[in-house]
Amino acid sequence: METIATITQDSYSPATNIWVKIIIIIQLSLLAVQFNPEPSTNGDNAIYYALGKSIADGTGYRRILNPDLPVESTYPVVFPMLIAATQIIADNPVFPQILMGVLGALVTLLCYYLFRRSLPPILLLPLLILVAFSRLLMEYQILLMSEMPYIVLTLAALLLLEKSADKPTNRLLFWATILVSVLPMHCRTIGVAFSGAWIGGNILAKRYRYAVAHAVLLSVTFGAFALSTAGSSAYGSLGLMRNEYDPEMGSITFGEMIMRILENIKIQTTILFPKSFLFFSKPPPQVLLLTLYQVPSLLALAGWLKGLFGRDRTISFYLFLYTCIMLVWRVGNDRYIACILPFLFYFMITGLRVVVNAARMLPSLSPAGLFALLKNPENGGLDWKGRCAVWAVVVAVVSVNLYARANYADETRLTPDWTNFYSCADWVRENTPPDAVVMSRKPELVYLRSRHRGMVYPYSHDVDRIVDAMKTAGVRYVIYDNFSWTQTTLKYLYPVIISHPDYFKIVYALNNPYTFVFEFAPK
Amino acid sequence: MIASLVYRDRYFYPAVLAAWVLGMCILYIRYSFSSEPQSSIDLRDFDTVLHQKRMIMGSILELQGALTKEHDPEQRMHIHHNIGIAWYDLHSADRQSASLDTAIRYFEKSIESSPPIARFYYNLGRAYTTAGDHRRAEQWYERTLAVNPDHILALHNLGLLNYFEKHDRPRAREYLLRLLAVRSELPICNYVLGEIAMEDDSARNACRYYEQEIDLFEKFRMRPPGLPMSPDVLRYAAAMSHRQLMMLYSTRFADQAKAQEHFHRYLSLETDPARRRQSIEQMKHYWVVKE
Repeated sequence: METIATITQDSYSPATNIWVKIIIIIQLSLLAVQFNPEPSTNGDNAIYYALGKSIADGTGYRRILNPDLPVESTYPVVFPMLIAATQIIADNPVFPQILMGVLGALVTLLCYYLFRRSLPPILLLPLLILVAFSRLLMEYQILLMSEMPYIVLTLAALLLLEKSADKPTNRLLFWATILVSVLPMHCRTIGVAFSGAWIGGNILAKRYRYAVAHAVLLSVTFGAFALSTAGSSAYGSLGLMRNEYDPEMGSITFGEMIMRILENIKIQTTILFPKSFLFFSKPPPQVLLLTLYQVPSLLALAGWLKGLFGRDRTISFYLFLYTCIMLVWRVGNDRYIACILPFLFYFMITGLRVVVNAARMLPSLSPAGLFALLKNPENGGLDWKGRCAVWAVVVAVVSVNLYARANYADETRLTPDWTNFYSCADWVRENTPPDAVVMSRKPELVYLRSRHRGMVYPYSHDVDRIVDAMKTAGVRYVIYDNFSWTQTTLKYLYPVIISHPDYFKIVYALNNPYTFVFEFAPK
Repeated sequence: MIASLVYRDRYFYPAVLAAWVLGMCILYIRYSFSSEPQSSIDLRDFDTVLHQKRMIMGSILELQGALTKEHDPEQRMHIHHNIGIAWYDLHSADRQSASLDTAIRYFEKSIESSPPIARFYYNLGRAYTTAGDHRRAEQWYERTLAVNPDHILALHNLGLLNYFEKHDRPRAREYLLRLLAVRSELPICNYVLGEIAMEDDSARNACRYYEQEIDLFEKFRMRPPGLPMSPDVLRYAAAMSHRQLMMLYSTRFADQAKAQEHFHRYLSLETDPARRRQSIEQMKHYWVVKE
């Protein structure tokens, strides 16, 4: 049986070890400086927090912010359970957010343990520097989102697989490996890509028991989750909607799916992948995006190809399946790439090694020689020119990322539309009964701010349907936002208010931009 | 021991991470996401803000964008109607007849493909009322009632339309009494019924209706009745009811104390200086007014 250990060296050395510690201490220091306790405005963080609170309060796995307390079926359970554990300290979202920083440092550490067998120190340290100082990863190390736990779980599963493959008779280690390997799927649904790669990679490596045990445990845990949520998981079907924010637009057709995939390929190759390596907040000129910014992605592609032929086959499969899922999803944003970024950095480094060695063989490099280079697990050492090339790329990538990190505070500062929206939530907390249900565009954040239950208005053009939904949910207050990033309030809620002006009374109002709280009193 | 802590990963990393967590917890232990709300701006102005041209145009643009993407006939019908509502609201803000014509066009378009929906018919009737086309307005209000016989606003508008525009007192009375049977506490209706009773020379009935109108005004002056009625209209109906009662108690029922009481309450509600002066002159025929 092929084991990972048989084809690798361990690049442990006391000097490397000290450098890793220095990198992690600098990473934690930067995180402490850049830490922002203000919850992100995306809203998922608040949902995770509410689910964690629901578990901690013993009310089950329910959206306690929702007026009708449905059992949660869209968000996997692992991350909310982690949040529930932090509520032992206090009912404050800042504590799980601090935990994300710890997980960020663990990602760097796990990368060190996982990849030190396949990379010499001269390549391992640049990889760790890239992971520790990535602008994109840093963002999720201070946000209450499931990206960091997901990356930790995938890295930990692969590391445990290595350890377990080294000690095939250790049953405890085997089951620990299997248990951790199914957790990514229960942390983020896209973890199905990891499970697929795990099963495929282990079958190809003839480690059948790892594949079978994983499949069995995954089926059991997934079945248990489906049963406990009454089989109502709707997350998969969201991906097949034309617009998950407008369900009335219906499901996507085959032709539309093809168009979406083509569009996603364009976005991912020209923006998302380049951006994940060389972070930019404003899109750079197209000429840069199509040339210089593609270099890290192309290097990662070379590394990925090399991975297919060697010990990194499982990781290569994983990235392939993950990217396929990303292509069929409607919104491609960098959140999805953050989850695989350490692997992309790893492949960028191994790809760089392939390219440097290929360059050394020019001009006599034949296709067969290139193939041999991809298949060779070691690729030989790097001469001083090769080392310079590696460090030049790493310094360029890290510099761009550090520059982006320096501007992080400016990027995340609250805009006036958000300031007013939060002020409305504060007004609701101070001036309305605790059981009043509040309708708004971001009920999760209103809940976090005011502890009032709430709902988002149905994305429907049928005014009466919205009014009926409000009556059914017992809505008493409505926050009319003026968000610049979405116009759904103007599109769906405004027609309701001007159609039924007698149902709505303004009780709180702010200017610049206009934002209101209405009291809803249907007759 | 320090060397062992630094060199051995199993001690070093837990110690560093624990120290980091402890430091962060100490820094943020008092952090609260909530804060004091900002002071609200004067709410009186905001009703008009909501109907500002910019806001309405923004909604129209969004809805038109949604219309280009929407293929479901039922949703298109709702979007057409919502665009019509927005154009109608725009007409209220800019008084341009083109806005009203566009609103009517959208309402008609939404009705073309829709099943009978009372609200759709009513809004078209309302737009025709605003355009002064009372014949068509009446037709659409009637169709509203065919779908929903208890549609309060359609009954209300038909009552007023028959009284003020068509001068058809019996039909106006019929609609208003039907309306009061559905919902007894509605302002303005009693005043109009009082006027009809006066014209029918039924002073006792008129007196009763006017008094009911005044009672409702007192009840609703703090809290509107939950209908799209302007407070000015409610005030006008109450002021006119006081004025009529003042006349009735000065002439038919000869109760000067009550007449004076209604006169003074009328003066406190009247906002039109010309009508106020005219009423004072009128009163001087019956008794001395202290100005």
